[in-house]
Amino acid sequence: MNVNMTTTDTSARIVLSGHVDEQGAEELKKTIRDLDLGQVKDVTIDFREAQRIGSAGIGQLLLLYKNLAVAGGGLTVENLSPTLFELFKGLKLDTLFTLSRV
Amino acid sequence: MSMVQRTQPVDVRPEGTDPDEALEGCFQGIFRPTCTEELRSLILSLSRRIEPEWRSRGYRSPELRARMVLEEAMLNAWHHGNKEDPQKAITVRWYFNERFHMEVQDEGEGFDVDLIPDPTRKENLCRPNGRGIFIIRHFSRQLAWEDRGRRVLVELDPEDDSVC
Repeated sequence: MNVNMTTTDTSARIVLSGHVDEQGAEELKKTIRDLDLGQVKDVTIDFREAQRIGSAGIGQLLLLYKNLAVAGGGLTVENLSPTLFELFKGLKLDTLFTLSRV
Repeated sequence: MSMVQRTQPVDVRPEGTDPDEALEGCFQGIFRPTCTEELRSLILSLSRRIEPEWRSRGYRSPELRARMVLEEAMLNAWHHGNKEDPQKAITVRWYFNERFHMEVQDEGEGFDVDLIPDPTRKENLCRPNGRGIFIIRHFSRQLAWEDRGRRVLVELDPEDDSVC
């Protein structure tokens, strides 16, 4: 899996590609750790090039969401495949953060 | 350091099965990973072993649903069942008929399925863990447990794989 992050003053965009399995979740965790959540309030995660995400990867999204919410920010997950979009909806993650599909 | 033992899937067809129909039989792999990283590699090898059969039987995107089910089931067996004990085996058996059938057995203490928290309940929504079984259920036609929760049985239908 590859993680590509770009940041502006108060926002960040993380583009994931490949499979966010357990190993991918560890890489995502490191990327999230590098975020300055004192500055960054809104994070968008782009799944356009990500084929799959497992429970460990979803766990990392939730940790990020919690940290952003505490600081008054928000998380957006966009360009989910239909399969992943339905999975996220089934998990009711759309009640926590904004989801969009390709 | 313990030795890794990994059997190639062996034919354990039920008695009376036509030996020329090997792919109709039941196959099994026994895995004793020494660490999570090795388990990841074993999961990848196993899914590559099964993937051509998935595709030939009409599963359009096995790297999504079938692979995710296999991965979550084996990770559960390793983390929660065997408590990452390399002395304990994870046994995976599978066969095809109209559907893909798979069972994953661990050597842990088992668990009560009814006590697994529902990750979609409001109080659990933000918990960073506890979604493996939900993912397996989400992508499966049928899901059941035997042997006090130490063996999970899963069925996947190619029709469920029509949207990716």
